[in-house]
Amino acid sequence: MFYIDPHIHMVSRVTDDYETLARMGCLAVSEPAFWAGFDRGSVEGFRDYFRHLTEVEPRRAAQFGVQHYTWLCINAKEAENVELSREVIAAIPEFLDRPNVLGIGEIGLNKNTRNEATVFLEHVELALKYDLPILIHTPHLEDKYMGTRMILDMLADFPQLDPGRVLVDHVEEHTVRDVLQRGYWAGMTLYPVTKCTPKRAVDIIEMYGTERLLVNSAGDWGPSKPTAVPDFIMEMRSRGHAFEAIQQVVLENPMQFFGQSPNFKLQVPGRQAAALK
Amino acid sequence: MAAYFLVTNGTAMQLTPLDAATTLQREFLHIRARILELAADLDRLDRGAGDPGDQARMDQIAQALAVLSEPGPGRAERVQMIFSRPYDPQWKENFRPVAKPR
Ligand SMILES: [Zn+2]
Repeated sequence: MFYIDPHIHMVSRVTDDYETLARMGCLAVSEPAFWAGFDRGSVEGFRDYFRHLTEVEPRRAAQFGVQHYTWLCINAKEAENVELSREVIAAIPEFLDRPNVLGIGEIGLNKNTRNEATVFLEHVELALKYDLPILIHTPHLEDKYMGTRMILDMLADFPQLDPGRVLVDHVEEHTVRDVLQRGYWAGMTLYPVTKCTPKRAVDIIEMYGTERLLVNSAGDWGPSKPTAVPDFIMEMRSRGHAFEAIQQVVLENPMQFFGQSPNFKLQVPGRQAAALK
Repeated sequence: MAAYFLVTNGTAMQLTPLDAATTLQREFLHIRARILELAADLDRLDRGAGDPGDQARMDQIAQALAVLSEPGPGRAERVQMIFSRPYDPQWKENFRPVAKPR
């Protein structure tokens, strides 16, 4: 089945993973800017990272017919350094006209600190200034609930922000309801230990329906599985859920959310499209 | 844009879960295996020399285990909340944003 992985950190994956994703039916990936496995020392490190995201990864993906999209920001982990964060935020507009940039992300909180909140707010201002969608990282484990509520409180202070252009990621059983009720999109990250599993993600879809819900693999520096979305598809199939419902979650929902970015143009070769019918 | 792919036109769908008997049949061995795994984890804690030390975590485990034998649905959410720091509605008062340099 064709799908889009809406949140996967390909800079930390090997080229073989692109080939595997293509074989599994992955048409496009979206890679939010995140931690690179270490704290970068200067704004120049981020400029190089943004070149990696906007030049290197799209080329690597294209070898296998996978489209690569990206989101730019300084992540919550490194946002503890407010001075550096402000330099990075000032540099981001240099990259916003690159053809694979969809918006600002993944911004958010990590340990729910004052510095992280400060940098989060300044990213939201940047997204509003350039009229771009936002992709949000919520903290893990014991900090997720408080952090998600803090993020929703901060977003509510921007009445001009359209919730339909905001994706709140890494939701789980205790955070998904608030996010959907306020009109945001919600992403479930299928991750072995700290986040959601394919079974629990299907449970959540059974409880909340298919609207505004996405599933992704994260595929990052931690132990993670870049083919977690196909695992979700398998779980949906094994429970007998309709092809249309599966496709809505793994393909049409990402298309609908990303379609709000002027740069999102899913290329579908005619023969592949015909084969799907 | 890629109209071929849009089979649902964005109409939200509600899914019907498998019936309880089928679910039990599918999940019984998984449930059994995971309960055994948990039991062995707790035994390992007991067999280890000394005190586990972190009483707060031991309490979380005990509370979460108790939730499993309560009626559902919503057990997964309740377990999540046991392992979560509580929300502080006053948080903004302690979190004035860092002033921007002039
Ligand atoms: Zn991420």
